[in-house]
Amino acid sequence: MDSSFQYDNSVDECIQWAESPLPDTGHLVIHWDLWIEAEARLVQWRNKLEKKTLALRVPADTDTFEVGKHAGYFQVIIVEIDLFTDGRVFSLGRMLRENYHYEGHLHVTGDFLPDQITFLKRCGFDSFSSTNNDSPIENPSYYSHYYQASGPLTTRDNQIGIKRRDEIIKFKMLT
Amino acid sequence: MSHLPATRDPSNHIEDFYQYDHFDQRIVDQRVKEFRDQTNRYLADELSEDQFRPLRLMNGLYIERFAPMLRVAIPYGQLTSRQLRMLAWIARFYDRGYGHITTRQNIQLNWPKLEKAPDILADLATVQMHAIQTSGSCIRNTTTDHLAGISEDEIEDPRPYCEIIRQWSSSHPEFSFLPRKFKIAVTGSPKDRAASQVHDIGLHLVHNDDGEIGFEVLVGGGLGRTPIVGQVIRPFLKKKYLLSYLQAILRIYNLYGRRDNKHKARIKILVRALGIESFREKVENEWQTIRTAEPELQQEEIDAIKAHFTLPDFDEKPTRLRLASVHIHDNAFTNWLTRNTVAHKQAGYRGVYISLKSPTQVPGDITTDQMLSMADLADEYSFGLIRTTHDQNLFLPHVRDGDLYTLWKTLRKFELATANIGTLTDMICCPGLDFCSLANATAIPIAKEINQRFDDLDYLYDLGDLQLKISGCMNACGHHHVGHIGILGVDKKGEEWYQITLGGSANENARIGERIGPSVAKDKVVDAIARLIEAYVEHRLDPDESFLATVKRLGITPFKEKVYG
Repeated sequence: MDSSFQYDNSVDECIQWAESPLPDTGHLVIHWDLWIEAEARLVQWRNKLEKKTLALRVPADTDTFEVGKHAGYFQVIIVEIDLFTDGRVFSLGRMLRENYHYEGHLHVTGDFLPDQITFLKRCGFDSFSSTNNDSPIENPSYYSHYYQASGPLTTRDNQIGIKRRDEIIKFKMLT
Repeated sequence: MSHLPATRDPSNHIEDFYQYDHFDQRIVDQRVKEFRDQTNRYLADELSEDQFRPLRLMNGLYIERFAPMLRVAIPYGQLTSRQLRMLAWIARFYDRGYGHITTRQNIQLNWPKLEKAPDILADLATVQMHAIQTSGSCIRNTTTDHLAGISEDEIEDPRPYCEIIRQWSSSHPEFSFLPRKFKIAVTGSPKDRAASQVHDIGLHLVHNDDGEIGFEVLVGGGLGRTPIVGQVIRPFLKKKYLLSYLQAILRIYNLYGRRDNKHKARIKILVRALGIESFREKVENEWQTIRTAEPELQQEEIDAIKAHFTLPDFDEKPTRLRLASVHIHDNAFTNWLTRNTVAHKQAGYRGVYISLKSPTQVPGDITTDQMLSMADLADEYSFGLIRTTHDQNLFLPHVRDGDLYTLWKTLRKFELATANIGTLTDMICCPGLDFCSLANATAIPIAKEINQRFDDLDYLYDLGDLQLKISGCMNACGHHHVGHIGILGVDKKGEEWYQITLGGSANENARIGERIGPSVAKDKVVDAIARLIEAYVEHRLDPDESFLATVKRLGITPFKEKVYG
């Protein structure tokens, strides 16, 4: 896994790899539709692909259970949101992380509001590129604690659940 | 004993009520700050109308016909006198001196200014209140039985579970942008006083064959354009799985609920489209996947929340109600005692309904003065506690028998002793075209006219239990589908007409009412209702056969003939 993945616009260039010769290095972004269409050929090219950061670009309304099955092939999954009120992306993120134990990089792009970034992070997303405005996304974090446990276990430190409050208080008293 | 004794100020401690610890308080304070910033960004044109809409709705702020409307959450209908005084202050200072109690136990302010909404929320936060998720496509206020904790037939007090769901659902990272709104009701008695079967999820505390208490889970109920009674998805769910099971249902809904048409986006449509079997299979599969990873609800956590709802210190030797001769001869008092009070599991105490349905009042409205009086009366007679009911009334949960007469006399002074609970004039009524931008027709003037026509209390008592519910449009906020008599306002070429339904019910035998025929003109509605009542009086077997029982026995034909014949 390429944990240092930084999203930039060049990643948006979706290579029509099935028709073109594959470049030797760099990112390769494959759209979900292409991937599904040509998955068999990919297996053939496995050696070449292993040298790359392989990213999957997937619309937020794609069947989550299907994405989950294929997630393991990709170091990066880029989820596209068409409309910020479409909340499927939150379930997709959590299910990839929690049900399919996806450990790669999760990026979200498209129409979303800065106000949703905290939710997106808590659902397992790592990086964000909004098409809503040109300015860099501010991520005002208003909350010191959350009621729910969600996301990968390592990010659950400030989630108080119901019982964890006692633990937090005890911890604070000890330190 | 609380799980966080250190964070409580014992001098302010209130029994039988969930008080925030500093985590709860911080989260609400932080929400106020977030909403203030969101409002400022909107006012500074940094957020468009379309962008701000879901953000403000998620915090209870509507833009209505004439003004914004702010819906403040009253979690599962529980209020303290201090909170009610704050609501009175807010209604007076920021609004026009009254509020409106809703069928989902919340309170609405009809005239706040948008710019002031953050200040209102900040004031609310000082008394542990908020407007979080009182609207929008998210999980709404969880509602329950107003007799929770006091009714004799209760299997278990549902309120701790409501509070657990409140916390779990507040600013939920995954479920804040659902296809549509999502409502949960919890009941603890075999009797359903929370209309749980017409909720997206209904949770009923039940015993299984081993005597263990858990939940019967219903899904897919709802009113609106497509009224549907919820179906059992799981007959018994262990308490420890409450949140993981809710998680599974909500996730399947979030993934598969329709987003292309808001009128088909509720979970009831999904359940109907898939069929309950197929929907159950999806939920159960997902639940099997997540239940080991999701934290279980531990008994000690439940106990910690339960500890907040220990009943207050009741009088060991309660004064039995002695009906002195003065009381017996006071017909008005005995009528009130019969209609507006209810048995309490503690001997020597009763629960008292405060009718917000006086003949001169908009159903469910309460003035600032009445709020303040109620707060004082709650302090004096009911351990500082007030509840709101699904029927848009108030309720004092713990009143000593010996105090009832004095309480009644005081309530009369404030026009809060209308002895009509459960009768025809104890109507549910939505704000209608007078306030709401969705409505097709007015609802409040119809209610007013019904009040004028049926102003004889003795006649109302003779008619017995009768639920009349009025909605100003097919969104059905007035629950007309489940009224024994339902009235629905429709628009006919720019004129207000009304459809009448019969035989609906919102209790444990929930039923959707049947339309009796073509809609009637506005000036004929109350005549039609009067004829329905006449038909009932003619056909009932005896005065003990209720209106609903008569409709069930005979069907709608004799009623229909009376109205249209």
